Amino acid sequence: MKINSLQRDMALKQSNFPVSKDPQSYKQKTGAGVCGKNRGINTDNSGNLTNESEVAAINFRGNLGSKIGKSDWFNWVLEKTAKHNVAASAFVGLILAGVLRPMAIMSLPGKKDKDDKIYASGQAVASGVIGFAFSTLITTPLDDAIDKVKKNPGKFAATKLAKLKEIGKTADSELKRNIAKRTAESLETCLKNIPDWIIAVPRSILTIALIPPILKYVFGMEKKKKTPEKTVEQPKMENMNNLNTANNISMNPSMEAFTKGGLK
Amino acid sequence: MNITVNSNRHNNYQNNSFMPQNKFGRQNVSFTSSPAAAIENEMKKAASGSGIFKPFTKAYNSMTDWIAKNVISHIANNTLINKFADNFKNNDKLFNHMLAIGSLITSGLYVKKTLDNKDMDKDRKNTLAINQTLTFILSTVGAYSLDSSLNKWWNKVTSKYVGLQINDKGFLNAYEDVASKAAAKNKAIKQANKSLAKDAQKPLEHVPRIGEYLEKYVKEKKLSISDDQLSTLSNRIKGMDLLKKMIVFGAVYRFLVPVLVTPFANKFGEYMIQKRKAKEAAMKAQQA
Repeated sequence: MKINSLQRDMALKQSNFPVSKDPQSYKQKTGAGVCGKNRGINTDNSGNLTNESEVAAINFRGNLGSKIGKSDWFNWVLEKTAKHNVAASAFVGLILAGVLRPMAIMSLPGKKDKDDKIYASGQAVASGVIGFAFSTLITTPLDDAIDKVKKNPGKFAATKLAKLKEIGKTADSELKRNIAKRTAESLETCLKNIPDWIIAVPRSILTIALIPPILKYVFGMEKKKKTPEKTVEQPKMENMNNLNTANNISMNPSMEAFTKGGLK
Repeated sequence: MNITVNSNRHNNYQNNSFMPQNKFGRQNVSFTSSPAAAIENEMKKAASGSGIFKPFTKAYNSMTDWIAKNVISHIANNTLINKFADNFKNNDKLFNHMLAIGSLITSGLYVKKTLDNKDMDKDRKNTLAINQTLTFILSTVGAYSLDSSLNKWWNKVTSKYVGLQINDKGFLNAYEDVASKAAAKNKAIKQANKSLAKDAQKPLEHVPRIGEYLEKYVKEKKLSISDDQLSTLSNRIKGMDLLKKMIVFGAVYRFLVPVLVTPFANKFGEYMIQKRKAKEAAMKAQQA
């Protein structure tokens, strides 16, 4: 591995930056002033924003936005989102189901249902992981194929797309070009997302079927079947919100809406 | 792997922007050391068919070529799909519809599974199926509403992002100006069209999307951005729009509505059970 280091010492004033030439006046012009001599003002105001700290807060917010907007990872996420619609959607689902939902489940009141909560959290994570893995596995080759057709529609005999691309580049008016581009974009959205409809059913069936073994063998969780006496003691167990019909898991209904992953 | 470490923080300002120079008039230093760039490089290596991945890459490329030729091109040439795409070309909610239809299919499957379940009694099956259907409707309405309400703000965020990418903060105001003027014109046209017959109605003004306006802006301002860079940026703008929709729909469908519906569903379930028990008790009393 070759590592190069670009060293510049600001104190040596070796660059053309205004800050290098005259650091003091640059600081006065652009700095928030929170690091200046009058720093004590901030503490005296017991939490209220002073002019200086307000500027600092705005600068920080602006800098954070700029940093995110210019970061490699954010641009990478955007490019992948545009290219892999279904997989990206499943990834968002994974974050929601795998992180936020377990947090919400565990923060629900009720000490009695601790086992249910742990199991429901595990189930949420498992369903998020299966959904993401299945969607990514199926749609990534399709997306790559769509990308190939999009880049070179003539080669793959996609005549209508080729025509739209041609109009989008060579039409005499801007409006015509934009309309052709929009139609091509709309067609691309259809091509990328219709497979999601097709895989929705097998994905759901697979998710329902795989959750118990994954929970058992990967997470080491197994749902203990409740005794009938206990069910009678807890009328909530008979609640209509029990969605787990496929794998016959009898759970606290308050967990069900979380475990099923809403509608996806 | 070639890593260039830049200890000068001021030079970082322009990283990953399309403009070659920063605001101090200095050339940017390119970074290849970030994890994302490193992953991208490895992916490119794999895609170019070098190293241990070569046979896999070759097989994968052949497979995607086959799919492109035999599946995708046929679908792309399909008249029905083209008609559908043409009808929705000016609709900014096409991706929303795609997500909603996907959820409809999944919800439909759950409802069917509930109704087919032999272990549940009929009352419980029906109430559960109704609950699932209502949850779907509530989620869909909520997701569409939330998405629409965030549009204006998100367009602003996206314009700011584009401004950062092309290093031109004026882009935000320029786009907002163009979009608001077009929207105002369309409002007036819609108002005027109300009193006109269908044939005499005026067509609406073309409101440019951010990506479309960017091309015009780059030409007008004579910014030194190549076609490839413009295409990459257009893709990222599209990604911004899709990301918002994915987060909104995902959060509503998978998190917010299930959380909000649960207490009401529980109460309704308890009420139904009590009602059934009261009915059974009344029947037993009658028999006795």
